Amino acid sequence: MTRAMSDSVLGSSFRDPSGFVFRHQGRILRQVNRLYAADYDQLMSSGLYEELMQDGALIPHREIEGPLSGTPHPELHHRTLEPEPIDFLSYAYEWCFSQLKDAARITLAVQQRALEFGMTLKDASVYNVQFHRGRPLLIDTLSFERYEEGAPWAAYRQFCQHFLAPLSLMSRVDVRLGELLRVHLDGIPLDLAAKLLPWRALLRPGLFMHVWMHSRYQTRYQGAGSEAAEAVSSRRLSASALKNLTTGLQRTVEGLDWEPTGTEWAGYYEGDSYNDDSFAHKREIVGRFLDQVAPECVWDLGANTGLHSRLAADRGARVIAFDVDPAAVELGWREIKRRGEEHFLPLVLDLTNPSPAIGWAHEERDSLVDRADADLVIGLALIHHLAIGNNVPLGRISRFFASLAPRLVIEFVPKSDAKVKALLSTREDIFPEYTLEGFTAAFNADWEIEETAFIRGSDRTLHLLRRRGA
Amino acid sequence: MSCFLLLLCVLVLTPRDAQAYLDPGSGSLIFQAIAAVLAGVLVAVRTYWTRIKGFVGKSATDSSNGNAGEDRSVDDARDE
Repeated sequence: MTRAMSDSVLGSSFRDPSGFVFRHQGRILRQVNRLYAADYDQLMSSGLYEELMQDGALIPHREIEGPLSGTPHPELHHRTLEPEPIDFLSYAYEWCFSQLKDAARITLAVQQRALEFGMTLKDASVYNVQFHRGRPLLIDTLSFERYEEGAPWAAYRQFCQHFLAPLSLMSRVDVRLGELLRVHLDGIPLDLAAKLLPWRALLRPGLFMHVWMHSRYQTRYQGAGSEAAEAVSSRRLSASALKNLTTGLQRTVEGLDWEPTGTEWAGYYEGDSYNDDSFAHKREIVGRFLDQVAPECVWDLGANTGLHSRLAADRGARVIAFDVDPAAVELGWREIKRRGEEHFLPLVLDLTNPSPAIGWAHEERDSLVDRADADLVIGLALIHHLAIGNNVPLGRISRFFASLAPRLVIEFVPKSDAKVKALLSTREDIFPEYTLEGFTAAFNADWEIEETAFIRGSDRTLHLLRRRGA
Repeated sequence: MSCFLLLLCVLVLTPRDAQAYLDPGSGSLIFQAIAAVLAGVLVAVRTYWTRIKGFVGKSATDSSNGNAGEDRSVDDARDE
């Protein structure tokens, strides 16, 4: 569950002196400090804010009377903003390729727009982007600063590390390299990316410049002291050069692609466990359970492309569809964009190693469990992968799910099922408790089984559970 | 009052770049100027390449069919 609500600055909001995000009586608010007053006022009065609202590129906010009593740092106060709340915070290491690419595109689009109004982005962190109503947008309203003619783009390094490096690695080496963002909080170091990229990839002008040459200059000038300071202070970048730089980065990002083929889960829905009648009956039962629970927010674990998650989305629920396979998430995301669904977010997640709390003092990025706010968790065709594929005892699975939501729809996949037989084919069966009775007994500690349904033409069963003490 | 004056001094005397809290990296700042020039060159090359292709295309279509005028106006519009 989430930490206790108190009037406090968010653990992730401390680097920028322009302001900070804090919690006040359950609301997320942003204080604009006096230091930033002129820049904020220009954002709001120059027409840039309205333009970004038109573009859907920045989180809308309203100004509220401040400083509020109990708010930290009232002596610095210029304005208090209440941004539109984001349904669910997700992080770049949980995104599929296209989600990261879309985030890169919006960042550069915002920079181009800002330049038109005499402003520029002072940072280009991937954590300034969140998915809201089905599209990525900038959530840091204080990211803009007044453009000074001749000043270079301070955020260039950060953009290359946070966006370009991981995108190029995912596109040209292996899609799993996006996971490096979890380890490198300030983006993937460019020298590392340059070493990992094949020489063919570095022949492209965009990657050659912004990754390879860029990393060489970084190395050459790091710790160079006054020599660097002199070289830097004399550098001037005209407005049109800055625009060209941004356009160049946009082209480089556009040129990076990834097609989700050839992964383990590609042909998932074919095979013995799913004849058409079983499939339809399963969906019918899940639909009925959803109607009974009528959840506002659903987490679908092991959702694959989100085929069954959509049953919840179609009923008006807010859905997060998690899967370990980046290809499945990619396909899910493309479908969501195609349909224009606004409250459906697919994310990459390894349930056996979910996103931990990271950053300074383990407080900058929240763990998966910290962000759990679902009314219902769905776990279809999942339990055998955890219990047998990963040797997780049923009791522990039950307890973990209980930490996520008060209701659960779960499918028990018995040993007679073809998929489980496949899992056991290469190993010793050390799972005597893995039976329907064993499952019921293990889950009984944390859950009350409200209903059990048998799927026609299959040995699988679906269960609707309510957490004890919920 | 003295606190206010102190704060005022701090605000006035702090260089504006203090807000750019991010370390831009010396190497990145230096390289950026080069990257911007190269990016500008690429933009120019692409523009002229399209024009050259359009011109060559026009000559080819002149000899093969009579729609040269139409092709040229489409290419010109794209360059704009």
